[in-house]
Amino acid sequence: MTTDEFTLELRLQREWEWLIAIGFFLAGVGAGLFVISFFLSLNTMALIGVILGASGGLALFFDLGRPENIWRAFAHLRTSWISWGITLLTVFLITGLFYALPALSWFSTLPWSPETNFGRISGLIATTAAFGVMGYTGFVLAYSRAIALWNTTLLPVLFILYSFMGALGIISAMGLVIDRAKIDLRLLQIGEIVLIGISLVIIAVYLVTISYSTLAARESVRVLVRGELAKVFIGGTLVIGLVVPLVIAIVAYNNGTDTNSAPLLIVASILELTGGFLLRYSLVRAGVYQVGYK
Amino acid sequence: MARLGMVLDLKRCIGCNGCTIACKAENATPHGVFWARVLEWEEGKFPTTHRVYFPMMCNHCQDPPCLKACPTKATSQRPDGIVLVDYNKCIGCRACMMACPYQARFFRRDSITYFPGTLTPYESAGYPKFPKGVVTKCTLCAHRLDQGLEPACVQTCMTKARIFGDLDDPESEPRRAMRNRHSFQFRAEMGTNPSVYYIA
Repeated sequence: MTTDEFTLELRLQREWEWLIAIGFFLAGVGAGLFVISFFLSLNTMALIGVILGASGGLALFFDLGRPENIWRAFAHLRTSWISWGITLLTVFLITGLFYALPALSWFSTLPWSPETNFGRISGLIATTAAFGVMGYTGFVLAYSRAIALWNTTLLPVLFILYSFMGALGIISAMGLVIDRAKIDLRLLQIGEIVLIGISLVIIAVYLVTISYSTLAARESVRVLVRGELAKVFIGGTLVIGLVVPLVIAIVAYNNGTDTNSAPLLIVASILELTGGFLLRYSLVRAGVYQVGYK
Repeated sequence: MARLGMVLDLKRCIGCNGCTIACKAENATPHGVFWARVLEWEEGKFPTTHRVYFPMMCNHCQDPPCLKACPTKATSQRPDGIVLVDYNKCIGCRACMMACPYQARFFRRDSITYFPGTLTPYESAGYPKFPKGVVTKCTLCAHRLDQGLEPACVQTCMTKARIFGDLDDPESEPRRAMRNRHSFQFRAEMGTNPSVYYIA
C-alpha cells in the first residue's frame, strides 16, 4: 500500500475519516431511534433521536471544507445523495422537533402535542424523512465508484439495519430508565436477537462477495480482517459489537422479564452502539482506491 | 459542437513529468496538488524488466460521476465537454473525489507553501485562485483554450505524447493518431466515457 500519488499501487482513501464516521453513526442512530419511538409513542426517546440526528448533522457540517456554503447543498436533488441527505435531515430535524418538543415540560404549553393532528402529521413526515436519513448514508458511500468496498448494494441495507439496532440499543439503555412502563421488554429482547443475527449474516455475505471483486476490494477486506484495522473491526465491530451483545441478549431472553434482564440489555446496548460506530469507522477507513491499468 | 479531448501515446511518453511541471507553472496549483502527473512502475523480471510511464489527468468524462455526486452543482460541464469546478459553490464535501474512478481530484484544507515560512511572489499571485477547503482538478487549461492556445501540458510535451483536439472530428489530430493503433479508455468499464484515450 502507498500514499504516493505517482504510482498505481493500492492507496487507502484518507479524505473521509472519523468525523464522517461519527456523523453517519449519530444521524443514522438518531433517525432510527425516532422511527421506533414514533411507533411506540415514546416521546422523550423521539426527542433524543432528534438531538442525536442534529449532532450527526453537526459532525458532517464540521467535516466540510467550506461549511459557510452549506446552504448551496440543497441544489442537486436530481442526482446527488448528499443533496438528498441534507434535505431529508433538515426535514427530519424540523418536523421531528415539532413532534417531540412537547415531551419537554418547558414546552408543555405549546398549542399542540404528539396526539394532535399537527403533532401526528409532523411525526409522520419526520418518520418518513428519518427512513431516508438512515438509508442515505449508505447510498452516499455506495455511489462512490472510486472505492470498491463501498460500491455495493449491501451497504445501504447494512446501514439501515445498524441504525435500527443502534436505536434499539438506546431504547434499551435509556428507555428502560425513562419510559419503562411503555416498553415491552420481551419485544426488545427478540428485536435485539433478530437484528444482531441478521447483521452477522449480512456482514459475512458482504465481506465474502466483496472479496470476489477487484484487487482494491480484496485489499480492503484484507485491511479489515488481517491488516491495520483488524483489531477495530474484528474485536470492536464483530466481537464487542455483535457477538457479545447477542450472547447477552440470548441470556436475557432465557431469564425472561425478571429484574436481571434490564441491566443485561443495557450492557448489551452499550456494546452494540460501540460496535455500530466502529462499523462505520472501519468501513470508511478501509476504503481503498480502485486501480486500473495494472 | 466540438468534443475536446486528448490522446496520450504510451509509446512516446518518456516519463519526464514536463507536463506535471508545466501544469503547475501554468495554474499555480498549491503544494501537493498535481492535476497532471505521470504514474510509473516496473514490469517484468530481471533481466527483461522495463518501466511503464502512464500520464494521468482528469478524463473530462462524457458521463461524469463527479458532476452527479456534487450537491451544489459546483461541478459542471461545458458544451465542449470540459468539466469544471466553480470554487464559489464548492462546499468541500469531497463526494466527487469518492465518485471519480481516476483519482483526478485534489483537496487541501490549507495552502501549504513549498518554501516554509513564506509565500513566493508566484505563490502569492496564484494561491488566491484556490479558496481553502475546495476540491480542484484539471481544467484542460480552459482559460488558454478560450484564447486559442493549447493546454500547457500539450504545448510542453517534448515527445508529442499528448495530442489534443476535437474527438468528434474524424480528421483531427487525436482521431488520426488513434487510427491503426490499439486505443483504449482508462477503466472503460466504469461507464464514464472519458474524453482521454490512450494508444499503446
